[in-house]
Amino acid sequence: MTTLDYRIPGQATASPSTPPPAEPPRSVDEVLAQSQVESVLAELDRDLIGLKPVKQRIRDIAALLVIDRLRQQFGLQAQAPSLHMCFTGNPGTGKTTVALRMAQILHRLGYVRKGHLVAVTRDDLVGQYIGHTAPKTREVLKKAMGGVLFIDEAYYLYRPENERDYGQEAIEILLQVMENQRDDLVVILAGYKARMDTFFQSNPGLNSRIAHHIDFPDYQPAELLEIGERMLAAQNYEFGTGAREAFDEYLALRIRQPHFANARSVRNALDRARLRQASRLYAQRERALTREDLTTIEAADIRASRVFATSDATNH
Amino acid sequence: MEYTDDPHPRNTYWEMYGMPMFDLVDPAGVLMELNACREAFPRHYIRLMAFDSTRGVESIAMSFIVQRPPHEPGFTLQRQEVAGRVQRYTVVGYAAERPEGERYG
Ligand SMILES: Nc1ncnc2c1ncn2[C@@H]1O[C@H](COP(=O)(O)OP(=O)(O)OP(=O)(O)O)[C@@H](O)[C@H]1O
Ligand SMILES: [Mg+2]
Repeated sequence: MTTLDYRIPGQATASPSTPPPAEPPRSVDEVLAQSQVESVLAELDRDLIGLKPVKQRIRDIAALLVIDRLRQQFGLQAQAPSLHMCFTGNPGTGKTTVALRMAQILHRLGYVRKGHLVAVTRDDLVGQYIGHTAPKTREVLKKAMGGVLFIDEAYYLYRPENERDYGQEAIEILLQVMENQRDDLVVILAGYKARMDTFFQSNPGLNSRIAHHIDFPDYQPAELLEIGERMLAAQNYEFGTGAREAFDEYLALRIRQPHFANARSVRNALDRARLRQASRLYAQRERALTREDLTTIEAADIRASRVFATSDATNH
Repeated sequence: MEYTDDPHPRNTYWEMYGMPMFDLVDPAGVLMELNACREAFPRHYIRLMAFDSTRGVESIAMSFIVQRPPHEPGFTLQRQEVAGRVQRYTVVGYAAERPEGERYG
């Protein structure tokens, strides 16, 4: 593969591409070394808590692509594998996050050329009047070429109650490109499991073009706690004495309440705890605040949550 | 992306095919549109024009023809006698004798 190095005047320097290898890779290690995919996989393992089945499937896909590379060295022909995927799972289980990583991994493995992710929903694909949908869908597809197209809540594309709905038109264009331009684009659909299943039942063409159906499990309480600690650490906060236990209790209560959204609920809870921490410190006007004061979330910041109040009310 | 079936070199204003394309990361997006245009106008001229907004101007930075009709009959040089011994010249494409849309078979 030759890499052209041209630059348009006035434009920022193109990101440096990896220099072409002198020797074609012969072993799995050599492919891995050249593609640096290990580091992305390790990062995935490190940054994302839990998600065992998801990580396993990603490893399998990576293995397939690595072996495919080696086969190519011997001129062994095989059709490029279809990598269109469907992510199902409850809110906040990490579907969008993993899709982003997926784009990176597929890029490192040379399956997609650019490795960017274009995330869309129904409104970005389907138009308002006749003749509006096709150009809209094609516009999105063109932008996603060379990378990954992520369609969140894909079932909204299909509205059986309205027989003249333009969603069907978008689906048909999508199908065509998924079939004919596999080299140019990977499509990932995402949504809640039950609704996705009904969607596929009424669109068997779409179902048969998706090779990988990956289910995202809900997180265990212990995993949620760990996710919370990671989130805090990433923002230079930490739990004070007793705060970790308080958050654990908080999670146990919150899981049972409606609209629980896994890791996203953790994020929101921590955001509110930060808010309360800030108000607490704000009230102590004369005190000189130490670094520790500013980075610590106290148990009180967590226990002030409404979740504890409502559970007390129901206990009485 | 633009197309025309008027071969005259001074024909600057061609018809636009589809929308202008912005923010594409990969050339596959352009090719997809180009192939659609080829299918719709298999016997027309098709050209691509590129703009570069980083220069702060809205004029064409690059332009090239990507498709021609399979058979181009060419041009004739017409001479017109005017006052005195003066002659005027003009070129006329043979294909342009037919109305728009019916040229090039
Ligand atoms: N395993 C994980 N480890 C750490 N953080 C996570 C993990 N899973 C999700 N998160 C965090 O949780 C938040 C929500 O995740 P994400 O947006 O990927 O969920 P989703 O499945 O796409 O939800 P929805 O179905 O509502 O779109 C993000 O901020 C993400 O960083
Ligand atoms: Mg999401």
